[in-house]
Amino acid sequence: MRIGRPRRRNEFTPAPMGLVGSCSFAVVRSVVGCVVLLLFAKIVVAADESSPKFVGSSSCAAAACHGGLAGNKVVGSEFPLWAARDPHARAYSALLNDLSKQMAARLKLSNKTAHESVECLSCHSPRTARNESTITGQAPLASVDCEQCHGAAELWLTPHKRKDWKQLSPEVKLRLGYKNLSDVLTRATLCADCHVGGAGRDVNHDLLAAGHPRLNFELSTFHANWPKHWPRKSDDSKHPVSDAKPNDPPGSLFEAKLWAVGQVVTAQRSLELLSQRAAHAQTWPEFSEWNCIACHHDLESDSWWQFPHRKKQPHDALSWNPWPYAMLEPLARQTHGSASPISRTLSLRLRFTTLLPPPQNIAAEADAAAKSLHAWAMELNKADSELAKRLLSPSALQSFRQSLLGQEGRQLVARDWDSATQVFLAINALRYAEKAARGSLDPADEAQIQAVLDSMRKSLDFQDGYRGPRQSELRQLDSLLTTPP
Amino acid sequence: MRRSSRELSSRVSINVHRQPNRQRRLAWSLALLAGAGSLAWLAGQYLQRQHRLYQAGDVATAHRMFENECWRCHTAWAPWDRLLLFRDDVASTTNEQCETCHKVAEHQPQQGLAHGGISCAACHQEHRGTESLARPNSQLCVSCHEDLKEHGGKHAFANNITRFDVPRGHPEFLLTELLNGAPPLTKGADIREEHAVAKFSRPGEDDDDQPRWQDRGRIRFNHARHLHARYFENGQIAEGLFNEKREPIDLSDKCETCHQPDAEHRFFKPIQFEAHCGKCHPLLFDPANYPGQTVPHELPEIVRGFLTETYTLRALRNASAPAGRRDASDDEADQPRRPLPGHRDQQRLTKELAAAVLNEVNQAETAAWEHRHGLFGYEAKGGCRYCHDVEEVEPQSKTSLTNWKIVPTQIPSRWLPHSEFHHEPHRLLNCGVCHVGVAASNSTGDVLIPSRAVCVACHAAQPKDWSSKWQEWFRTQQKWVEQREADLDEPRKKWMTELTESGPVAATTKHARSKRREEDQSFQELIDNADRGTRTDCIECHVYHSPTGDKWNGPFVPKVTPARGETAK
Repeated sequence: MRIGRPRRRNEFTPAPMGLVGSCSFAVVRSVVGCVVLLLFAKIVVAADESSPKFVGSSSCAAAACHGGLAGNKVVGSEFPLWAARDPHARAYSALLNDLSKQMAARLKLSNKTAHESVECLSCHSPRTARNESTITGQAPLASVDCEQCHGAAELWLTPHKRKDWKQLSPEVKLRLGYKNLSDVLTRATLCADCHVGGAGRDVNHDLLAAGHPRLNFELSTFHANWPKHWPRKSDDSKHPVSDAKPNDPPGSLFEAKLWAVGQVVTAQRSLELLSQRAAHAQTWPEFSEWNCIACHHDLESDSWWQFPHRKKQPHDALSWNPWPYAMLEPLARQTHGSASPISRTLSLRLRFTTLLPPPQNIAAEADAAAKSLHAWAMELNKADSELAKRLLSPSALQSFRQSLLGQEGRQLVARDWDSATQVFLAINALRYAEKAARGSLDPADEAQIQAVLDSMRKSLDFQDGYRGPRQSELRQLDSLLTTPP
Repeated sequence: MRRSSRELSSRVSINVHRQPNRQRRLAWSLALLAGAGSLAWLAGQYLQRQHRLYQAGDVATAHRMFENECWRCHTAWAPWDRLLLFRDDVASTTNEQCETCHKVAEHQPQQGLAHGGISCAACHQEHRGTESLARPNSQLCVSCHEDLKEHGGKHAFANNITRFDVPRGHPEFLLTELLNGAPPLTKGADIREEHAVAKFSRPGEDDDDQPRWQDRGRIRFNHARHLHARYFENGQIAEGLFNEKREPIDLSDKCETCHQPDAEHRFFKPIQFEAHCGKCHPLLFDPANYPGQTVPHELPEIVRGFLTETYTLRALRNASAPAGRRDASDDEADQPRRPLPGHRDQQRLTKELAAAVLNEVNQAETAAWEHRHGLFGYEAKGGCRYCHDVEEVEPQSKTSLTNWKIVPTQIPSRWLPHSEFHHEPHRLLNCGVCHVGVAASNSTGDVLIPSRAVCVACHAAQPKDWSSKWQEWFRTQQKWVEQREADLDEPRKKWMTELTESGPVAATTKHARSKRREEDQSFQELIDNADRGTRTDCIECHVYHSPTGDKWNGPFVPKVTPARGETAK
């Protein structure tokens, strides 16, 4: 029993505390706890190189811990909130519905059913995919449950129950396997694991053709619409406006950071996925790397897709999937004043104007581009970096929002539906970001933003019965953004 | 008495051998004269450039391309049989030679048995220059049809046809005979089927116990109402149909508004609801909520599907758009959901909403098929039932709740399937000239197809050639036409009286038809003064070889008696 020993030792730790004076009880206890935990971790890591095991979400869902029914209050009722409202709780059962059955039949999956196939489970219920029972021997509760995000709890469950848990530093917790999800970059990367994909988690053209919805991941919007099982204020309070004056209302840069880091991380993970696809895929070209509408477009002569050609814009018939990369250019101009962090990404874009770019070159280029994006995301994630402050301050946010409502946005919306939708989401996200950073937003500004968003959405929404942008109404979009705010 | 040799010799001139033989001389001179005359005739013909006497005429235009290649057609040497054995059926052109290019259907399967084969060239006579080979003389048809022989069976049609414009020379159209109450000639139900008439009583129009021969179409259409118009004395329209601006319009001579010619201008395209009816009779279903919006003119299932979709989307739209998040906790209640463009948010109806939608759909469906709304608005007519017969049925399944169906309309596309009529050459005539009584027809049961009397008004020989018997026959036909028009007019007059009782308009207006008759030639005048002499050739209406190739003379399949040797059924 490898586990038993440290656990017993952990139980004995309070014993020497009686020797310590009551005034310094808490301090000493936490210090000792740290020491013990470090020992504990080292022992286990040394004993077994494999990753920590799962304990199962039933371990979290005790009524006294996270399984209480505290009405609409969040703290204490995290598990019921997740189970009732979080779409992640239904990730596994989605594999049992009709669409999944049809998809499994179309994809000719090896196990015949979607809920038994690793291809599906690796995102919809990763623990089932690993075929790993919990530490207590229970069958794992399927879906994207607590430990999928917070980390496998084999090592951190016991210290997590202790009162001094909160005094442990994030690094210590991480060493136990508890992920620091307060960190925006960590959170974004974690989400992107599935919502963008990676090795073994590839929503490629086969899956899309079989019926899987497209992964139009935009972290800020998804995060806002996500029924949260933690207080929103706790996020805000961890990312305060750094150079706030004492009289200013308490502002938070969490929303702004979430959008910016989300954009960069999405692009970075997309590039990494591209590299994987190019290096290992049996089928190249992988069609989902191209803009959907490059092929799936209306054949009407007045089709929106044909419109840019009439305007003689530098817009090739084949183009790279614009969704993950659309907002990088304005973002780079804001933080760097140039396109330097995305120069490799931009050069890669040209590769996708043909249908058969050489996969070897693509893989190497994508890796390099992803590295530079990663460095950028790290910079943005730092609270005190000069680079981040060019975007992450109330005044910078305002100027960026104005540029998106003006010339910058016009260029993007004229490109395609993906870019236009990203502009839409960005304007909306920056509206809330600015609001959070300043504490409030000028009602006139807000009304103007809302009016632009309302009319943009009319053009961007698919018409009834269609699964993609169809009409040439999108051309009205740039006229919406002409008037400077 | 004994005569001496001297006496005897004196009776004959000694120069008798030198004297000419008058008979022989006469014969010789006649022969020479005939020869000389013939030569002179030939010479004369030659000088007049008439070569027909000794040379076959030009080949028909269609065969000009091989004019000098006689062997293309002529394979047998027939003059011996034709000149000396008087065999007309032998031709120097065999049917096989014709069939190398022309694959045609038989005329009548038994014809071959009866006549031992008939030569193509017997009817399609070549070397007549520009005369069309495809238009054989009617005499060739009549030579058989004036006295068709029966071979153990019965003829499908009349067996003594001589000419179209003579009372007994051609049978009346079967359609007319059926409508006049005559028993169907020889055949059974298939003839009636083909002629699109049936003997039944129309609900709401005829007495149930008095079925009559009438149009089998199961749809309600009132020509009289659509063609009605009245004018003020100053020429302005007083009454008529209404256009979208609710102004009266006169459609009485605008048949082409609905009856549009096909590409060939031969027949007419079928009437289509969307193009011809729906503009004035919109299928509104919920003018309060969906003003001007109509259900598709489709099967009941599709109509119901359309309504279900419409009302479901409306219910979802009304249910969505809450101020905050409905399912949000206190913490995020003030955070509005951020829209994701593209797919609208997937939503489901709650049970209560679904019940409400079902109720709305049922109401709208009833409104759509009941005839209580319509012409540019809800108050007039436009529901399915206004034109169609609607039957209530049990819902087919749990998922399909449609409990009504439309009785098939059975609107015929062709009425006289054995003739080859072409509207285009008749384009100078008003429709009503031939389709007698159309402006007075207020029942779908009325068959407005012309009878032979109408055709003969023009397609006949000169009046002076008519026998008194023919004139008598024609007068009876004419009376029938008048009687029919009067019969049709009777309910119409009543209807017109009802219509005009409401206002002072009637006293000072003229009916569109009488107004036009002042200007136009009426049917009566047409009959009286028609420039008769229009062609009456068989080929004008009938084809000998079936154009489709598989059946003879149109799509009708006769119950032909089996070939000789087999027993007739």
